[in-house]
Amino acid sequence: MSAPDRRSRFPASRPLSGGRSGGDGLAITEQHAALVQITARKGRHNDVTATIGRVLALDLPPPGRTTSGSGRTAVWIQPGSWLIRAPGDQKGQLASNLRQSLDGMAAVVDQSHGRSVIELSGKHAEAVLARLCRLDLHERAFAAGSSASTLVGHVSCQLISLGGPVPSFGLIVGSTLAEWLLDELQAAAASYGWTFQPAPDVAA
Amino acid sequence: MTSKRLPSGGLVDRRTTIRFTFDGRSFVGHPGDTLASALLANGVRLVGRSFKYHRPRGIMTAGPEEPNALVELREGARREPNTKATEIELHDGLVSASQNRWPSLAFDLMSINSLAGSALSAGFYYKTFMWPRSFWEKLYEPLIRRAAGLGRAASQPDPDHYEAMHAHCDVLVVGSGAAGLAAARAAGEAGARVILCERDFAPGGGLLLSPADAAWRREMLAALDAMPDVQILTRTNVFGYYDHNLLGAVERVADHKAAPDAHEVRQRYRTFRARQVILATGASERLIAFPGNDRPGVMMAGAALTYLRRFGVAPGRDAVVFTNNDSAYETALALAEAGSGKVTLVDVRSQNALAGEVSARGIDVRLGSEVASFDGKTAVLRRRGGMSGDRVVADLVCLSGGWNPNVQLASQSGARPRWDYALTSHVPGEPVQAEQSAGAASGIFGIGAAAQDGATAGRRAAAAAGFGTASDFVLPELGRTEQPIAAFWEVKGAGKSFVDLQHDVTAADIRLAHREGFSHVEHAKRYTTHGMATDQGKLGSLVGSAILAEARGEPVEAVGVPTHRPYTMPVAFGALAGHASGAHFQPVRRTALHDWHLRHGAAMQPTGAWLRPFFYPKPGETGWDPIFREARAVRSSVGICDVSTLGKIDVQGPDAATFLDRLYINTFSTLAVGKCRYGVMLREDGIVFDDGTTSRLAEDHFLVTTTTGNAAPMLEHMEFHAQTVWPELDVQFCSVTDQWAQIAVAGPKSRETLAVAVEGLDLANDAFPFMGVGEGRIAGVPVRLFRISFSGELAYEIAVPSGQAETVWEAILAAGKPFGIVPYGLEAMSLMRVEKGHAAGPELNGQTTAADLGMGRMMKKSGDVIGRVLAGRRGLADPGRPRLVGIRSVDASKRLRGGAHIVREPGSGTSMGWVSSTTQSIEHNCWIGLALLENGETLKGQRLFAVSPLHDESVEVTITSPHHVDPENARVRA
Repeated sequence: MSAPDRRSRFPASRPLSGGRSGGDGLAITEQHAALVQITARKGRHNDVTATIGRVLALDLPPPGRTTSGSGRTAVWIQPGSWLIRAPGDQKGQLASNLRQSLDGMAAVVDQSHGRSVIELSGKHAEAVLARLCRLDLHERAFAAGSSASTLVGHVSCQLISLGGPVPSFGLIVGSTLAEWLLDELQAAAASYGWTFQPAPDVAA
Repeated sequence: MTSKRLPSGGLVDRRTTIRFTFDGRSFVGHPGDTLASALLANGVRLVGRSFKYHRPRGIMTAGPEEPNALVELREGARREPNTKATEIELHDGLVSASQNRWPSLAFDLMSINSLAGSALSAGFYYKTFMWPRSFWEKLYEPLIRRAAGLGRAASQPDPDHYEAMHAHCDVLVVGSGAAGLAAARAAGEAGARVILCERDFAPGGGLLLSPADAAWRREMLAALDAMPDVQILTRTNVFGYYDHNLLGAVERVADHKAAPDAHEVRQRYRTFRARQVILATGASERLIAFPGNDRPGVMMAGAALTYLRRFGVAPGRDAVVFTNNDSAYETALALAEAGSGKVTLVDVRSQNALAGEVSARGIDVRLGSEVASFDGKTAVLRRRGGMSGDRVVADLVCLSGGWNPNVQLASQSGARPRWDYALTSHVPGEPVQAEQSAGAASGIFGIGAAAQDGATAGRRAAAAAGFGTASDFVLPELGRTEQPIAAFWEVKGAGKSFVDLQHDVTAADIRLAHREGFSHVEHAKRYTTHGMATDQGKLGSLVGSAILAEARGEPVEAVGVPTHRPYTMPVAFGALAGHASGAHFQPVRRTALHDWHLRHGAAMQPTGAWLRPFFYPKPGETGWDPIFREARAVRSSVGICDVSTLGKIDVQGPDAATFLDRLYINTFSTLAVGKCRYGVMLREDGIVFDDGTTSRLAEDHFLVTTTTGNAAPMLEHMEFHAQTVWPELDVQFCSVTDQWAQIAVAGPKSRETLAVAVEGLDLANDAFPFMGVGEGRIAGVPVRLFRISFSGELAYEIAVPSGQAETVWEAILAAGKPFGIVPYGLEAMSLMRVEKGHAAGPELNGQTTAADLGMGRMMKKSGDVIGRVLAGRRGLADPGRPRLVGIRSVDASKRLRGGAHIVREPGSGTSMGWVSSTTQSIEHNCWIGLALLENGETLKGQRLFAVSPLHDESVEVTITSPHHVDPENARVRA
């Protein structure tokens, strides 16, 4: 028997909208994602790159960048280390698959429960983040696919520019700090208004 | 009182009326007014009393340099003292009050200070209040505070919200006068990202005083508005210029409203990181010192022009304009044009080509003359340096002693101001950072010339930021060349000549400072408080320097002005704190079970960044009741506790075991797979850093746990050593603290509880002994089990993927129900750990060695380890050092306190050690504790005293083993 899995990491009691109403608000969406951190063993960088290319069809990105394909994204997080994101239904399975493929080449650590993924979308997304983060997020400086380890709302986050017709950003944050970050995001977006969509629960 | 509003002209909307009050009286003004312009329009001449002498004062300026018109704004929780009426945008329902008068503005008892003026000279406080010291607190300070009362701060919490916002740009332009607008447009058209900041609510600076340039201003603003990468921020004062082209500002978002709108902040703190900065901050007019230059009716000539041209207000009827330069001629002409009374122009220069033109407009021009004094009604005019003069009736004296380029920000950026002989003022020096000044801020006056200079600066900045210089727009025509200014600072005479009106500093005070040895400009500033008020000496700083220079017998440029530092204008603490106050002060971490704890009535408490359940009180329980109930349940049956806050670090790689062997004083390479071991880690200096259990999950895979507080420092410690000390080791590690929730199940019935809940792991004592590590499933969720104990009872910790923590927690609760399982909080856990004698935070306090804590024998015999060498220092290896012991109160009712000192006899002044942790014991029914006691081993069994002089307490205690419970460690192995 598989355990019932409430996908959202936020209490069900949280409001789904707030701040000024009727404006071009910020859409905040909790993502249901599988996340695995891989760190190459000494001297095995090229083997890891080749293996990930083969099994996930992803080019591991250079510093400050992400690469995406087939519903998966690789994010550079530190020298020789990446975070692989896949759809949430691959939680657990992604880690065990990668552990097999990368045996002896890399440390593979499941972070599916250790990190929460929040996406922001809206005309004012950059202005909201400018209240919480000191990086230059203008398209010229932080183009789609850019990624940075930085403080957002005083907590360490991986911040990713998702591009798209409406400005969108992804935030990967330690799951024990996710509620704090959500509070900060909602407060920063109050003058524009916001909506919040938690990760949907598993269908019965 | 008649209206001084002119029938036409200016940028106020006369069709709309705004009601406001000042000192309880109702007035009307118009949109576009400041409080100051509206007060002047209503004929209000007296707006405040001075700081020290309580002299009556009127509005003197039209900007942030205002020294007199300081008011309390708003009421109740939103009351804000010391706001400048010249900077307050008028709004409907505005409530304001004058300050520093008692009982009323018109009749002020404290003005007696003015008669005793000679006793209140510079350095008066330093000289008078030095002795006796006790007089300061009891007598002088309360008196001074009442006498020198600035406004009253609100006594209720601020109901408004503030926030910070961080912006980046290619070109930051500070100031939106002709130079600023041209600079922003030139840079914007070249393709740069531009931010233009304007302190005022209306962009335009000096353009607002020039009807002829109104169309150009509008066209420039429209062009800037049309560029998507140009942002104009009004009501935004840039207050500081820091290293790396970082500038700080405050945007007054809702100060022009009675209360902010819903979801609107009152003020916004802004930072800018700019590749290039253009400072188009304009210039400030300086005063001339003469007796009575502070009387109501004295106003800066540029301010008078501002009230006439921008606000359509006549600042007086019969005016004397006193100047040493050409700029005030325009004020004289504008006053004559407004046409209410007689205008007399007094120019210290003996010749001026403009004199004829001005005379032709009916203005009485006195060349080579000066104002000898003013008493509020009559000005005495005389030939320069002459003895007698003639008296001219005047209700307005306009002053212009020349213009100082606003070099404050350039100076803060590191550019040393340079003396300009033609201007008799400082101009910005050679840039140190990527900045340039433009227009009046760099000493280039006149709208046409400033605009041209701004456009050039904008193109240059864009090019330096990597853009082209393509921009094309029409500039205003150049004005005519001005005639040279006369260096003229002071008219000497009997009576007070002020150089700093807000702090009541006179020319005589400056000379006194010099006589008493405070001759350096920085010393004179502090001795006299000249330039230290909220106007930062903008009016008279240089005048004071000139007077000091004369006293020193040196040129003014040799004396200089005090260093410019942030902030250019007062900034509210609320703005700097932004959103980060109250519950938003610092990040809060919540475990995966947080919501469960809340739903089950836990009393949550912050412990570091975490919120943790202290206990789960039941109805009717008070004090220690819930703690005792929870701890008894664990000791007698079974309890469950959320221990997710422990730091967890996943360590992998062929060299993982070697890495841990070098970090811990004990050995991990010998640990079997499927087992865990307690470890202690030292700092480089030999002091204990952290402790915890480490499990071996595979030959090359370990899981390290840290104390809650040291999770991040431990990871840093590991990173530092892996990157810099042992880069040859092949080891990978990362934090998995948030990936795993951890649940302690403790008590004699814990095995029976888990036997029901756990699938896939044999929990029998032989199969899964103390310090075993295994994997199983609970409610279908894969979990890791560790047989470790913090309470001293048979216990397990279960690591579960944090998203599934509640499922597993509930399953264990259900399995333990037949045994009366209870959730227990941090307090019960702490009680049991003190009973068991485990060292925790109070003992791992950055001062103790492993031996101090009774763990000296854990140090491995061979092999280097961090901290080994320095732990061998004589001071750290001394066997007499305080050792961890247990203490128990002899009289069970006597409370023990952490921090108490251990002494042999009550009243002894010699401390033998201190109490680190205490609790009431459920095993011993008395207060017990842990202590660090010199020669502790040899004192076991003896009776000593724990004294707390702070509480006037002395408690007799028995010294014991730190293990108050199960010293043989049998229960955990049962």
